[in-house]
Order: sequence, then structure tokens, then C-alpha cells
Amino acid sequence: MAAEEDVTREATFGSLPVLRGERVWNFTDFTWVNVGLAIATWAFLVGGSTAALVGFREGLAAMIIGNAIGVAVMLLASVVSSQRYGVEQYTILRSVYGIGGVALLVFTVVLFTEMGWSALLGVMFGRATAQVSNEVFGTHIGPNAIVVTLLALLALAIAWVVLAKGPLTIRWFNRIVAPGLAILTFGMAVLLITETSWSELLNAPPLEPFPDERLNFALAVEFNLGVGLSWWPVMGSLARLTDKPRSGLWPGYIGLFGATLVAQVVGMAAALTLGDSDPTVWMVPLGGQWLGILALVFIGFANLTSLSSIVYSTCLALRQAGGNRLTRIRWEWLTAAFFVLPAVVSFWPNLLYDKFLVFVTWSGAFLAAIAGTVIADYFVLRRQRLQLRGLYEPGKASPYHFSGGFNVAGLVSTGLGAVVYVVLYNPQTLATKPAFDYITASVPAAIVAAVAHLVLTPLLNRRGGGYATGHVPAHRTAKETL
Amino acid sequence: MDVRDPALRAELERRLDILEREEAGDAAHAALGAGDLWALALLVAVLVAVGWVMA
Repeated sequence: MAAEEDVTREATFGSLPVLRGERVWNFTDFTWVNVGLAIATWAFLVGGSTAALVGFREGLAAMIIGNAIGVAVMLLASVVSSQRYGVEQYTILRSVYGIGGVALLVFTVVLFTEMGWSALLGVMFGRATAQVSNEVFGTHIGPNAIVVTLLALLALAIAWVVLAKGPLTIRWFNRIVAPGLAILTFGMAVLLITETSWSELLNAPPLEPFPDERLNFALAVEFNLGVGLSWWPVMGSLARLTDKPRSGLWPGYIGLFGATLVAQVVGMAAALTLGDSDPTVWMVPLGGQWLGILALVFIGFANLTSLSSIVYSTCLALRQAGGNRLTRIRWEWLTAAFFVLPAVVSFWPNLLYDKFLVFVTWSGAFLAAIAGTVIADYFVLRRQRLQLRGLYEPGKASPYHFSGGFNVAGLVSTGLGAVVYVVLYNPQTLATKPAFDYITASVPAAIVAAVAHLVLTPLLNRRGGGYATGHVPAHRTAKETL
Repeated sequence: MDVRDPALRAELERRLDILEREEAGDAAHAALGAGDLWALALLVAVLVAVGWVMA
């Protein structure tokens, strides 16, 4: 009952604008929050997957380019407006897509992206635990064995129990996991430096490259762009608690670009040195039997925590976007329903885990287009001004009601951006156009979505949408924007 | 969130009133400055150039 109360409080009052006293994070605090978020087990997986395509030097370059652009675009599309108005991003997003449009995106793009990450983390827990069993009990469990599936299902079940206990349990786990993963990353870096020569690392060939070297590099950049963009579903809700615009933007960049890069590079170096892109395979060869087992146990625990955090924030977004109907569903049932698809996917452990690149780039296709639309709307059309009261007005009383709750201009623009992405690079077939090697797919997708939104908005929203707010006289600005 | 719920609506109104009366000029509510946007664009450009040269 206490969990239900905690969750209800966050799902309802969490949607309200925060006041001065509730903005608890300054620049330094938010930097540490982002560093903790960035050094997660999936950063090792990204490093390993990048090593599958390119060697160390090209991989480092791809990580720098991809994350530099991806994180910047993602921050501009989520953190800036949420920070200014103290409101979580799915409420702010009503000004871009309308309340129905937000629900459409949350129940498709956000839901399936986060379900995918959940399945991935569950399988990683399964493989890490199977490795521990192989080392301690001498079993021979393969990476795609049914035991891995059963362990992945166990991870989902444990995460569900943790979630049912509410947000306080997750926060308590995070306090252990974040510093633990930082120590693990540092330890892996030390072992790699002492056991591998620099020239050995630079000359290590990529693990499973395509014949075309230029395509391999372009795919690695695109993959890392997708990784940078993949923070979008969670960042706005965190940034609303920061005390100044700079405390939202720059710590986000320091943590999600800087700290991620460190963890990814360590992962890439381990993959190239040990010849396997799977982080659960590295720990024993790298740290020896007992240190390796300890690291694997910790990775399993860290994945449970990440899994719970992801599902918690997604189910909160579902409740906030789903209106009264979802509010009436008990928290335990809502979270249990979320786990159904990840549980089914766990029966094919290699489906997402070994096709990580495909999964990340598919979600990147939509997130890049969403980011382009949001940036055009907030920075260009609205000049960073929203009618805060209007975000909460019901139905036609809201300036952001658009047509029946849907901003057609925003949704069509996002759709066009995603189509451009798939035309340039189809994540499913890996078919690319020649231009993809030079301009990627995410960048044109974001630009096309932004330009389309700028063109379509004056045509489709001549009176509605609250776009006139940017022209209010200066003496009325503070009141009208707040 | 059901904005027609009386308790929630009252809390929302309380917050909006405080924001309008007491916090309108707060640094927290300032727009992100053009300087920060240009600095971010410049940093991204430099990092992309570094990566490009490295590759």
C-alpha cells in the first residue's frame, strides 16, 4: 500500500511544476547524477558492439562524433524546456504534439524502446549469471541456452518485486550500483592497461566487420548517435529539479558525453583485446576466476537496478500520458503488464542482445525525428516561451489542444523525419544510400523533421497551438509564460 | 494526471500562483542564453572535427 501511495504521489504530483525549494540539484549535484546514469552496464555493451564494426582508433572517433551530436541534440530536445518550467517532459511535450499526440508517442516509440532495453538487460543478467555458474559449478551453459532465458525471466520477476515496493527501494539500490560500476570501470581500465600494450590495442582488428570499411565507420557513428539520443525518454524529468538553465544543460553533457565515453572506451578495449563483444564474457579472463565472478555478480545486480529504474520511469510516463484509465489500474498490474513483451523476447536471447545495433538504430530513427521536431517547436517557433498554465488546461481550454488533442503538424514532421532515416539507412536490412557514409541518418532525420515542422505549423496551426505567445509584450511576458 | 480532481487542481493552482507571484524573476526560469547555445554548437563542431581527424 505504501508503494502504491508513493507511486501515485509521484505520478500525479510529479506532473506538477516544481517550486523553488524543490529544485534540489545545482550544477555539481546534477553532474554526479548524470555520471551515475552514464556509467551503466549497457555502456560496456555499446563499446563491445562498436568493436564489432571498427578498430580502436576508428571506434574512439565514432564514439566521439556520435555521442557529441546525439547527446547535444537529445539535451536540447528534453532538458532545456523541462528545466525552465520545472515540468517533466511528457507534460511539456503537449505543446509540440497535443495531449493525444504525446499519448501516441509514449504508447509506441517510448514504450517499445524501453521494453527493448528491459529485455536486453534481462538477457544480460541471464548471461552474467550463467557465466558465474559455468565458473563455480563447472556447468556448460551456452549464451542462448534455455537456462539463460529462465534466468532472464527471473531478472524480470525480481525487478517486478522491486518495482512493487516503490521508488524508495530503487533509489536505495542505485546508491550502491552507481559507485560500484565506477569502481568496476576503473578496475577494468587498470587491468587492460597493465595487461595489454598500446600497439596491441591499436592493431587489434574489429570483431565482425562488413567488407566496406567506410560503411563500418558510418554504422559505428550512427550507432553511437542512437546511443546518445536514447537518453531522451528520461532526461527531462530529471532536469526539472535543477536550479538554473546551465545546471541542466552542461552537467547533462559532461555526464552523458564524458562519462559514457570513458565506460564505452573501456568496453571497446576489452572487446578488442579479448575478441568478444559480450561484456559477460570478459570478466573472468580479465580479472581471474574469483574477481571475475565477483564482477559478474555485480553486473547482474546492476542490471536489476537499471531494469527497475527504466520500467519505473516508463510506467510513470504511461500513467501520466494515459489519463484516468491508467490511473485506475493498480501499480503492480501496470508494471506486470509492461514485462510481458520483454518476457516473450527473453525466449530468443540473441534477438536483441546480438542485434543490439539494429535495436539502437531503430529507436534512434524515431528519437532523432522527435528531437528535431521538439527543437524546432521550442527554440524557433516558440522562442523558449510556453504558457505553463495552458499545459494543464483540459480539452479545448488548453492552447495546446490543437485538433482533437493531436498536433498534426508535429506528428507528420516526426513521421517524415523517421522516413528519411529509413530511406538513408534501413536498420532492418542494413541497406544504405551513398550519402549515409557522409551525413549519417539521424542528422538528416532531425533536420528534415525540424524543417517540416517549421513549414507545416503556419499552414496547419494558423490560430491554434498557442504559437502567438512568443509575441506578447515584454511587460506581460513573465506572467504569461509562467 | 486528472486536472479535474479538486485536490490536485487546488495544488496546481497553488503552485501556479506561487510561480507567477514569487518566482517570475528567478534565475531558474530564465531562457537558455544564446551564449550557451553557441558554446554547445562550437563544442560539438570541435568534437566532430577531432573525431573526423582521428578516423
